[in-house]
Amino acid sequence: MSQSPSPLHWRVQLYLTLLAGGLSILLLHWLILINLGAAPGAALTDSLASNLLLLGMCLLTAFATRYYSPARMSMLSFIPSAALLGACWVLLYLALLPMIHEEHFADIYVKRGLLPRFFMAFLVAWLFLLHNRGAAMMRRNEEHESRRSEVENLAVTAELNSIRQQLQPHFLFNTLNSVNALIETDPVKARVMLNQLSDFLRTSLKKDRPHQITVSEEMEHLGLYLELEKIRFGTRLQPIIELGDDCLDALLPSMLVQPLVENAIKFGLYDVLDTVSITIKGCMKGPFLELTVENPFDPETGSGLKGTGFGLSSVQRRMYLLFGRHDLVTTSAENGIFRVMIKIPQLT
Amino acid sequence: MKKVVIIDDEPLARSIIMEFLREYPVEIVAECENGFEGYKAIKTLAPDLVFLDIQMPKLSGFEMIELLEDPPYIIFSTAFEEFAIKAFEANALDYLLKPYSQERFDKAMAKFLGIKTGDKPQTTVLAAVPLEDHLQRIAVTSGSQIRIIPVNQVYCLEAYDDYVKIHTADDTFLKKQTLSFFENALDPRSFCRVHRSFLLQLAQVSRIGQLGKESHQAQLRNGFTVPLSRSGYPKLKQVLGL
Repeated sequence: MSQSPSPLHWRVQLYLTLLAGGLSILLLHWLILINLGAAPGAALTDSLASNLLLLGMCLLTAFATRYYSPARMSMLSFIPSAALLGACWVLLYLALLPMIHEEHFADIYVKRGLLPRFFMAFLVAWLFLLHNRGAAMMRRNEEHESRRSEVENLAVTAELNSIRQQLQPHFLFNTLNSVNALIETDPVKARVMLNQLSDFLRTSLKKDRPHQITVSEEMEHLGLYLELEKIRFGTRLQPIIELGDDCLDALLPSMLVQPLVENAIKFGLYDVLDTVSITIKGCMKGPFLELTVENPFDPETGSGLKGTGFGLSSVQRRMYLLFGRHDLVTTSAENGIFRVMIKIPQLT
Repeated sequence: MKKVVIIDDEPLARSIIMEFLREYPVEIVAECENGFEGYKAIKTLAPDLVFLDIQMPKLSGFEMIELLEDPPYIIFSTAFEEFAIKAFEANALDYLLKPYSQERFDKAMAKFLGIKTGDKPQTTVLAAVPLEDHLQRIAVTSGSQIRIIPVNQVYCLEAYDDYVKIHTADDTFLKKQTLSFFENALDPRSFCRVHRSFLLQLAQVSRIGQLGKESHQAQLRNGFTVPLSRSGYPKLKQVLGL
């Protein structure tokens, strides 16, 4: 199997082509003038001066239009700008002539050849602007790619962490111990619990998970998790789920709410002695799906606003990468209730 | 009949221990769902054996044992294997990893039943390993109650024989522990050992003044004064950025 050589990074390609192009033009200009009979020295001066001026004007244009990207780009887009640039350049060069050449040279080789010069400048400008546009597109692609892979990475890490969390003693073995306890005292319940655990893990460990799921699907999965935890903690855990009817078909990124609920239970149940209510609310607020997860905590000894390590910060990061906004995840801690609210824009 | 207390925050975990104990000549005198109740039960009922979970709300199993002056025999029952070594060092009778079978349980009980009458439990009052990096809270007894003091409410700690006096804004508690233990367990960014017998919380220092010709003292927000040793004074100044 042959291996193709790794392509040079696009930035290197960019500079190399610019350099090659620039040198070719300088050389071409100089050779034409010499062919027409000009003195090599003066021809060189002319080539350098006029082309450097052109380069300067092109760079200026490119810089000025750096953030301008019209909706439909085509090869023809730059013709008017290139023509304008060419014309301006000719006029500018004419104005600067006295400083560059003696009158004799200027009369024969410049003033007589204004039209060819204009067309050459037009071509060069057009090529330069296209080249520049190409570079900008590549840069944008690169940024998109890296953002996309960061989102992927975070989603995968969130998934892995969630799975690890579930397979850790805290959840899995305690749940198995509960099943063990029920086998003799309430075998029917033991079987139900075992099936719930199996269903839950099957969904968690599924390989091809879609990036987005509906609220009802997510709540089904979370519901299983909460059922299992309820059996473990007996009456100490009281989950409350309040979902507006209009939000059941709304979409949210998968593995987004799960870590928050896991944390709510972890911090709620181990910080507070008596019954603990974990509340999950969902409703539609205009174009947003608003999800809230609440848990009680002890303001004196509790963590309060201390994030949740990976959980909260990764949710905030994923939301930013997916929707480009920092204000979609908010937390508050008052009256002994820690609340996380996520607003998910519905894009259809 | 031997008396047994079961301490676990999950009701099903407690019920399985009760089920496994069915054939044994023991009396289950109490079932507790957290360390506070467990502490009270152990102090008032003086059981011979305690089944103890480690991860429990507010007070961990280790923190609870640490407060007992005369701990009974302990068999840990937990889903975490990380604490096995600590349990071994504490001379626990056994360490049951959830979920466990009747056979495994019987092995643990065999150790208990094999104890000759007259043997005393060797459970040592060990330094409670904080479940996070730095100690965030200190468990103390006040009468028969357990109080949890968040570390930021501790103004200073004073060595007092075998004990440490823990000073809060307007109260003082005793804990059987060494000052050096606290020096290592507390966050050094918040606490500073300024004297052989004193450890203070930096946030509570309101003033540093001169005491005698060569000695200094720090005044805390509640008016309490803490003497600074010859090396403690520059150390405190440096940590406070003066």
